Amino acid sequence: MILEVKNINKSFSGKQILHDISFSITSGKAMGFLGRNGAGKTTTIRTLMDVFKADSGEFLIDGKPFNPKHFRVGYLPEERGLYGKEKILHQLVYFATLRGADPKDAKASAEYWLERFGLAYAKNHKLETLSKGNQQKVQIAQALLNNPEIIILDEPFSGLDPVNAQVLKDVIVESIEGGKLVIFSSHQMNYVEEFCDEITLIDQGKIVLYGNLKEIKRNLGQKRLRLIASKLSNDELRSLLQAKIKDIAIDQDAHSLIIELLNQKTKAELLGDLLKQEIEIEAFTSYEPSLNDIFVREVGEEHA
Amino acid sequence: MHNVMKVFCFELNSILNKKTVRVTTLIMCIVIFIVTCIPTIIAVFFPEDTDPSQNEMGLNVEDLGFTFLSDSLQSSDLVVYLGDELKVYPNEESLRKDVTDGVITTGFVIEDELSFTSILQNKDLYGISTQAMTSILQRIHRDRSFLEAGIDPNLIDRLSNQVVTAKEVVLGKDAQSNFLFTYILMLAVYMLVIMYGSFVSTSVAREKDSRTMEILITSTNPGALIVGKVFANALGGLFQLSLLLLSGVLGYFLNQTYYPDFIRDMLFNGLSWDAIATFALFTSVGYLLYLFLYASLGSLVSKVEDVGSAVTPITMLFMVAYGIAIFGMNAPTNLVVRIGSFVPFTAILAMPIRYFLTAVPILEILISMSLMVITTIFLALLSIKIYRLGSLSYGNKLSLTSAMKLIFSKDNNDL
Repeated sequence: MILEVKNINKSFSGKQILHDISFSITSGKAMGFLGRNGAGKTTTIRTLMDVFKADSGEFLIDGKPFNPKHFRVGYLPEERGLYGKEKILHQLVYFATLRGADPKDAKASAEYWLERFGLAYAKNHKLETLSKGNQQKVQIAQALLNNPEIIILDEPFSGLDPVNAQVLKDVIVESIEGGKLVIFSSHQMNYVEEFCDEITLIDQGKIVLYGNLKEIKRNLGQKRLRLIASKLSNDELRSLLQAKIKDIAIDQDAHSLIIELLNQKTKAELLGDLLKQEIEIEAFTSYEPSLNDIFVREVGEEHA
Repeated sequence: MHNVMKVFCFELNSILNKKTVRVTTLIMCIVIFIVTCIPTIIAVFFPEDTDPSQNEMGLNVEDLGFTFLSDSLQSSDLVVYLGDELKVYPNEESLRKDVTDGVITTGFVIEDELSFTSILQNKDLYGISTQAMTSILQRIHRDRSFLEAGIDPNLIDRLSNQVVTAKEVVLGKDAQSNFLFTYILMLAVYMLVIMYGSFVSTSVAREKDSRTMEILITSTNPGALIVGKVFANALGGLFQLSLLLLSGVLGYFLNQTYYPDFIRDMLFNGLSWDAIATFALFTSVGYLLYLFLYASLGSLVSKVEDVGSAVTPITMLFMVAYGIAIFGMNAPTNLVVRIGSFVPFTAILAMPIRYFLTAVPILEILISMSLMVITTIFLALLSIKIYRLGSLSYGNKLSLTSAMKLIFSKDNNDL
């Protein structure tokens, strides 16, 4: 199953929020939808879920128009909410049946997910009696009811402690392995990096980066190297390189200098220059940016 | 349609499981049952005073004392009315002393047949001794005057009390006998609309406040949500009302032997199947009409605490309908009431009241009902649009006017 988002535009009160948003995702893969606060992630997801209607563009599933009500879609909105005064199992069964499940299957599915999230004891409790973290787990459980084919999770990890985050990670990995189509937005890059094959980075309503995460990392690291000198600090090394070596741009992180090769300069030429300067090299390796680096680079403060 | 039933069942279950609804219903049922037992309570705990010393004028002679200041009226003149064991005092001082000491409760200083003074230690709210004595002296004076004129006072009494057999055949409606029945039903409708209207709007606002709305509208269509919710609240209200009526009916049948005839007549003489059907039809459709209005306004707010102010316009509108109905109780043929019985927002009460208290042509009923049904359908569709619009405006309180502008705007493609 391939879900395609094609040239989606959306305005509110004359202000354009989404500009030609396009990406696609296939079953058995997870796509991380990234962006700063207010970048347009939630609006895109709501438009996909038909909460808002797009001004133009289309959503296609296997080439045909996508209507979320015709598929088993598990959706966790950014704005969390369930009935505080209703019993947990009762309302989960209600949501599952509203989406077309048989009451018996709905009950079995709700009980399974409550058990999985360690909330079986609370199935007849009112939601408002649970802690915030446990309420969050019930929210996630409602998104997973009915064995959905498509799972859309808006910030699923926010509010979860490390133990519960691990449970959710396992669930997402299982879903991906089970051939489901998973889209989730998050600010926690480590989670996205851990199990997303594809990423889509959105900034001010425009897609700024989209594709396979490994390829993106490889491409962004192609002309870059990580350099550490054993007898010089990063700052000393940086000053030396700036004075003595041409055709490079220098950046650094907490551990090393990151050298970008300019004007067709090769790694061998750089290595030769370093040896000429009698710099004792501790590390001279290819550089692969972390997702966090990519995020900051693409939508950091200077882009705002 | 399938999802309407699911929403309906879920919402109805929520309403009937609400502790506040259960407790309120129980308390109201108990209160109504106790009210229906009042005639029995009065009969058992406050039986009619059968004190043998009390005479036909309602006076207890043992508690009374008399002093006669002239010869024109003596104790023997009062025997016919008060018996022959009157306490007669020689002077006013001794009479006052016994009143002060509590030997007697009331002393009468009789000056002549047309003037006297009552002396009481304390006068309670329902003291009738002075009025009773006034009546006795008036009778004595009347009888003496008749006798002086050669007329037998007994003959006058017989003629005055001549029984006339009267039959009244009401071809239309009997406003007198329908009054109590109409009033009870009007109060019931008032309770239903105000209470369950508030439930509906709060329920919608709470879904928005708790952010449940987004999950709901991505799970099913807004039409199923709003229609299921409104019908569940409507039935919840009718169920509660049925329990209240049932406790009233049960109380009546258990205590009916103690009910005065006039109350029985007022309650049941007005009952006819066509009146009940008219009432049921207009109040049911009108009730739904108001619930859809309440649901719409509940969708416009983002916080439950804003519901009260948001629904004020509908509550005011219903108060107007109630005001017209109250006015119609006394003037069912008035032009305002007649017009009100055609306006869908006021016909909920005005038309049943007209029907109960006067004869209403069937054509007028059909026209009024048609207008009401059309308006209700229109409001149902509008409330679905407003609900959908409300789900798109988290955190904002929309005014009804701006909601209307958005709904009918050609640029808004979200609805």
